[in-house]
Amino acid sequence: MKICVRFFGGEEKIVELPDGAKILDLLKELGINRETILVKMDGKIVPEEEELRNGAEVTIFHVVTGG
Amino acid sequence: MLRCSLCGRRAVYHQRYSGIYLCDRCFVKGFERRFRRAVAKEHLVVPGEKIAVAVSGGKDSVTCMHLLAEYCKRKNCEVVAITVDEGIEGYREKSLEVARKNAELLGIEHHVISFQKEFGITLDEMIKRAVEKKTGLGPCTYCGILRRSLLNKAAKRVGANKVATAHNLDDEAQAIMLNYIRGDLARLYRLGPAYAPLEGFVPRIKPLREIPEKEIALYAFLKGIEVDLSTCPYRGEIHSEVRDFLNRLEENHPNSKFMVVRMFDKMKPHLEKIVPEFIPKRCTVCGEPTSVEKCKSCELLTELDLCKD
Repeated sequence: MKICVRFFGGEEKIVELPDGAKILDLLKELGINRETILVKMDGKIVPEEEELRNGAEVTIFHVVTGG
Repeated sequence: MLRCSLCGRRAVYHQRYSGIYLCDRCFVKGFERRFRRAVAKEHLVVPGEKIAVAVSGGKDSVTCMHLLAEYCKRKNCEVVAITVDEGIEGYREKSLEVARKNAELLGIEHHVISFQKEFGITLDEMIKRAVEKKTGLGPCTYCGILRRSLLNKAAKRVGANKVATAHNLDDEAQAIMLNYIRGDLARLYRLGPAYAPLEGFVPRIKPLREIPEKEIALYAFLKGIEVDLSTCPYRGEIHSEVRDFLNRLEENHPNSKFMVVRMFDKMKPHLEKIVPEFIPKRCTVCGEPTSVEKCKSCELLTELDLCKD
């Protein structure tokens, strides 16, 4: 399935993942530590264990920056 | 859809260190309860006090200001906000505006103290000068020491009894690890929920010390609090390495950050016997309290030909 990923700040990319993949799999694919981000799927904040659906719009906010 | 372990509504967060999923309502309720508990447990705020909150405009400090404003209303305390403008082009202007707007929203007095006005130079210019003079010191050293000193100055000016900083669990765990790595026992000993060093220093409190940084961001999101999420262009040095290490550890072993801090809290009473004795003196240049002849701020400023001695 194809997932549209947006990063807070503007960058955007399409990531392809197998059916049944979770946000955690997406983060792994992108090399992002779950402890440092918050994720919105289709406009709602969700836990990283949430399952993705084909065509989902995911926004990743890097929130652990030390500031 | 994942559901809240407490009420069954749609979950927004997996609190891995406690093993539960939480919905927005249960998360916010639990978060505010933990904040109140931390303040009460350590007697961080006493009725009648004036608390100066250090507010940069970032998520931690703005959230801290909102929580303290609400708490202090009930405890008959006054809250004022202080922002230190270091003069970091393209970064501080935006966060300063966010700090101002939030203070206004909460009906809190907002004071700004700047490097430019107090030292006659911005941090940006200071860093350039430090490179020219080959001091070997990084931006975080100048910013950390001088910002602390200005915060103390501003808190005294406004007549605050205490300064609240928004150090969170991540910051505290990082500071503990850093001081281990540097072997700095004196600085390690100063860590904790509250610190009242010497006459002339306004005591510090850290009401968010037991709350992970990620949860502070989530709280601000869920409450619709306007915060600045941009990152300081100068961040780096060893701090970043320690932060990344702790985040990797937490990812693989939830609760690690809590354990670093809790273990330190258990050890702290035993450190007293081995920490070098702190003999209070007055800085020969600025008159501020220090343990040596010249305080660290004046030492840094002298090296950059900025000290008025």
